[in-house]
Amino acid sequence: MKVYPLAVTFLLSFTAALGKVSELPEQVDNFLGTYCLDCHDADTRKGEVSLDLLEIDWTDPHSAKTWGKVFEVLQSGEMPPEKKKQPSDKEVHGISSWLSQVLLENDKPGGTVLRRLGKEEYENSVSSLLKIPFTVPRSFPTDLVSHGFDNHGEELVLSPPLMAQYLEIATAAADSVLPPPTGRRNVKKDTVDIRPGEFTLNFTTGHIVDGVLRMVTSSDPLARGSVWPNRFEARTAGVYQVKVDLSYFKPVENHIPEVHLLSRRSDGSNFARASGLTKLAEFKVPEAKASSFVAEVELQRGETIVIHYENAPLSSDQGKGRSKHIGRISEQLLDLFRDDHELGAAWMKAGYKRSDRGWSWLERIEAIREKGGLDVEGFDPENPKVKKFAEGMSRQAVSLVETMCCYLFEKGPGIDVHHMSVTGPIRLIEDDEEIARQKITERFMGKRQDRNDREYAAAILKPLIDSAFRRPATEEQVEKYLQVVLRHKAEGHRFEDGIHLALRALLCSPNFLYRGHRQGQLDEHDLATRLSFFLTNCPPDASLQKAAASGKLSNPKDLEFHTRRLLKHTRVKNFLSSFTGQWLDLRLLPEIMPDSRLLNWNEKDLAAIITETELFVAEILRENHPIETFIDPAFTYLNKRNAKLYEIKFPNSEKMKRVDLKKGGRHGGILGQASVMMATANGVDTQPVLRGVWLLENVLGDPVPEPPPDVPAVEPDTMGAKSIRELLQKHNSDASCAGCHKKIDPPGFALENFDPVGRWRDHYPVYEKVGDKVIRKDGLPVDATGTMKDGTILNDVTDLKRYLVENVDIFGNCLAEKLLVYATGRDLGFGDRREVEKIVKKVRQDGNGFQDLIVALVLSESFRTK
Amino acid sequence: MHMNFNRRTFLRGTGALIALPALESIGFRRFASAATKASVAIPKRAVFMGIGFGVTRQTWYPDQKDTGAKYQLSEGLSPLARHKKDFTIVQGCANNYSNEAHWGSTFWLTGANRYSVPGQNMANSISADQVVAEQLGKDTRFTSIQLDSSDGNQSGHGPGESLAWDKRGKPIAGYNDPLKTFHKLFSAEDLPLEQRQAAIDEKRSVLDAVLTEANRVQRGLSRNDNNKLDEYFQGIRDIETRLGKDEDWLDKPKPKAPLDEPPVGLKGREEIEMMHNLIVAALQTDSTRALTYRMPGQSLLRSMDVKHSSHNVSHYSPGERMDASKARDQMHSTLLAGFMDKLKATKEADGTSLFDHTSLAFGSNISSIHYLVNCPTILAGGGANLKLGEHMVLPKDTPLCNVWLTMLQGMGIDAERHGDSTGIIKELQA
Repeated sequence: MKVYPLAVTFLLSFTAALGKVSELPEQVDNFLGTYCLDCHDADTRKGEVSLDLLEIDWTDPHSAKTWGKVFEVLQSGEMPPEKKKQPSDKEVHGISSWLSQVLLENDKPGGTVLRRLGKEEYENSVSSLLKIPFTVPRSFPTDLVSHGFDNHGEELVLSPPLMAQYLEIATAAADSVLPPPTGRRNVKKDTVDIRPGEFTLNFTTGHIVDGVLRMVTSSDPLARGSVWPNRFEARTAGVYQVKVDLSYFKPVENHIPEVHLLSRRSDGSNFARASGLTKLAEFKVPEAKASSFVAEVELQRGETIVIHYENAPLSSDQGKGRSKHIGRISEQLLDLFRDDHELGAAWMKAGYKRSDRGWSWLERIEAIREKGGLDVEGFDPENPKVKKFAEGMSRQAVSLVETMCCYLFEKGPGIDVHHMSVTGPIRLIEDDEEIARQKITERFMGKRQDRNDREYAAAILKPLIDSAFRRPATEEQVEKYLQVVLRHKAEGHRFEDGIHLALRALLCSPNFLYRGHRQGQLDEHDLATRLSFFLTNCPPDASLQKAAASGKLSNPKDLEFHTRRLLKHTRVKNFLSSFTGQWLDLRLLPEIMPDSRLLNWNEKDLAAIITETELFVAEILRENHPIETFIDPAFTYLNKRNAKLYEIKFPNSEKMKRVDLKKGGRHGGILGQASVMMATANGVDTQPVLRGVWLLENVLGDPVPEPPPDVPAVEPDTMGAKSIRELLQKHNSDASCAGCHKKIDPPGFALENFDPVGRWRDHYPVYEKVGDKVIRKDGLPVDATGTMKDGTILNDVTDLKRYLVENVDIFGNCLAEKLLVYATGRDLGFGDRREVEKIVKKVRQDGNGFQDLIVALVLSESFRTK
Repeated sequence: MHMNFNRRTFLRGTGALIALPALESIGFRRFASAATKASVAIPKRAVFMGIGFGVTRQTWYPDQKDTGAKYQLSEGLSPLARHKKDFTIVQGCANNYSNEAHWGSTFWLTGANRYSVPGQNMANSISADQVVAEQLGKDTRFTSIQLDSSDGNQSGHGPGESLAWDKRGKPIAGYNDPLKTFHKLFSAEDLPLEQRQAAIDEKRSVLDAVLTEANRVQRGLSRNDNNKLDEYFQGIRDIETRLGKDEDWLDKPKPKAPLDEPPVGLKGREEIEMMHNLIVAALQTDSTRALTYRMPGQSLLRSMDVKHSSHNVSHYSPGERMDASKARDQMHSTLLAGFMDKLKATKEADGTSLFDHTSLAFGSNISSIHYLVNCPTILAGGGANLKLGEHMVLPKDTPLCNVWLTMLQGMGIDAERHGDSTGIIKELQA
């Protein structure tokens, strides 16, 4: 094949296609023929890419993507591959210039498809429309994630089950402002009998013995000291008569049981405190013979009646001063021992194991007792050793008291519940919820004054529709909803029911559920909507609506003003958690459970590392720090938990505090925070390939394609004896792997010093079993070195940080693209990306502030085009 | 079962009420066998169970050289030994368009090409169970039932809300909790008939209102936007169809539950066992004839005390993770064997078993790790007239949809092709 050198001068003669088709100029055709078609002809189609064409048909949606990619790989020198014949810089410049020109013509900024409200956007929109707190039910489908975010227009599919949900939710939402008539006057009085077996029992709050329900503890948290009927709740707010049959089990001197009846919402927390509930009645139970106690009590709808043995001697509550309750409980334990020396001896032999509590501890003790051979004779409950033992046990107050309850169910003292019955409502009382709901309804409906149905309905609906559609409704639109109301009323329903129906239709309307109906440049209202959802996940607030209505929002100064205003608004937290949660994959963290051999981990640790990153990003935004700060900050946020991970000295406190860091260090920033390191691992071991791919996608802005399906994943086993390097050797030796892995592996390996929870390590762990225990030892040393494609040598993560700070536009472009994808809900095209490059450069020259970057993006053509 | 028995419904012969226990309840016991002779067909049912991340390649598949009826079961399949005559292992099949290494369920029953619609990042097509549902679901209360787990589309299932995709390739939602499933199947409606009828009417009014508005919106849209809005129209139409069906069933009480209400909070192994019971109950009461189950992966491993995530286990290499992967295979086989026991133990009134009338498929689009070839496939049950008790190795990359097509036709479904099928697999037919 002949080679035609391409001269820059030719460019001028190229006719950039304006229509739907660009013919390839001869020089471009020759370039492709010389350097590309060996692999990318119509037959070979390496990587599913064929450039074997005479013209580019821009009506094919794949064209812009394919040729945009061609432009990029030529620019970066990734293609042609090293081993193939290389074009001169001039030649590359020639074809790039032409490509750039036709791509700019044909792949202009814009192109977001009609965008359905995402789950959070939908929740916030309903809330804001009806001015009530609102969350979707748990069964609500989650949105697909695309390009790292769940708000991508194309992926926001409206599946039939989702439509069905919208319809259901619309009814529930309308009910919350316009509840159906309750008909509570019609609730008939009746009697509910509750037998001993029909109470909710938690742990050892009660125990059925000989057909009665026995209680022996007064612990304050309901799940530790109270019982309540499991099938009774008041159907309406009213006065009910309650009758309980109680007796005193194994009376002791100087103690007369007191029983309190309390009210509790049947869906309330099991760990609410008895002392915090409303007391309905109290009884003294002095007799060992059962007698009936009767009281009239007020219950709200949905409430049930709690029985609490108020003054039981046994309780796991910690009063003021830990030593006091330990003294009290251990004395009660010693009492048990005094009565039963064998029990004492058995218990001392059993001691305490981590899983011991309640019945399980008892079973272990009783097994020891059964086995025999205990030195009962030699057991002396007054021996100081025994006393010390009892005190030691009492440190596990909750578990111990539960087990002691099991013994007290036999030994007493306790109370026995024989039966309970509730009769009512005897008369109705004001329903707190109903009063609250009536207020909501009144606010929603306004006053009728002396308007007719049509006028009144219009007054309610017009502002509602404006708000739902995020723009002033047309008269025709309002009229249609009015007709729904009037027709429904004409069919014999109440006026409110008509509004209810119209509201349901409104909540299912495509004008509510979708945004971005109009083509081209965003108009004032669409601009307000895009800006508001971008920075607050909410529909436009009053101030934005006003600016849009006055036609001023599109004025760059006003747009900047509102952008900065929203960035200061408390609702920007929605942006921070949604954007960073997805960009940095923090949303994955709750799913990951670190290996218990690595460390003990709990939810507070998890909260600490997530909060660190959230506070960190929030500060960068708030203070308009330069974006280099993401990479190499001079601060972070710590409490005792993440400080421990970083081996930084910190007071024993759960409170998050801003702490100065030295720049250039190992920890700090998104390349050193535990949250990111954990999200990019799996809790058990690290996989440099996964971290490398993640960095390319989220920090370096050079995503690699999915691994080919027929190539087995090379799965390093960091527990094994081979080093990961050895296992991944093939990446370099096999050319088809090397293409991507040259990019993936160096940054991925640079993070290898971080273990799966972000702690620094110089060696991989190996685990050895010694008896029952597993011991962690240092295994092979970590080798974090690598060479970036531009030749930069990395020794570890600090070099990677330096590389990124020195080449901050690499990160800047990546971050800006992520922001723009998140804001516009579309893949960025060629035109979008060129605009991003310009913005990133300009912002860098002006100090590179994060806020400034966001403002510049909002002002861009890309943001302002659908 | 105490039903308000309507003779006309009975004679319609569609099977909605023909499950023979119903006959017994109205004193037809004596004539039960006569009724069978009079060819009251016992309905055919299809059940698909998807496991997401695949199997342990080295130990799950029987030796490819050892085919036919006398083959040796593999380690991973050994718990199925007692049913060996009643299921067939098919090797060599793949969905030839699949290229997502972590999507074990998205295209499993559809065989679709993700990129078949230009400019669209994700296209799918109808799943085999929905083809069954279209033809056999008309006369049951539930056209089809999709079961899912709280793992959702993690555990290697890929996008989707269940294994099922409708005829436009949109996901169909599933019930992800045994208790919820139980109530849907068997709990009586709270509201009186008139109120439920009124609720349906109101929903229709809402749909009418939004439809006219959507038609108006449509006029100003670009082509791409219009495609997007199509989803909306389709959603509305679907609801209309469903409302129609709801109306048909409005006055018919749900069947009496053949099992107790499941406890809350079942996870992993217990969750799967309970879902199996519910599947049997749903089929037994003829509540549906097309059923899919997207099984939990992550929580199954948790219930087996495996610490690694299901993703991690699927990427096994010799050592802990491979052991976990093998243990998970064994657990799957144990559970599947238990499920087959239950199907066999549930008798139709003519003395045959539910198993004889059910066509059961178990597997995934992923064989193991990132491999999308030789999809693990177990076929069982007498519902599709397949040759059982065999180990078959088909030519490499035989479309998996050929298996589905064979199954569909064997069930008497009118289908000429499915997904990327090229024809039926003759040797699979009994």
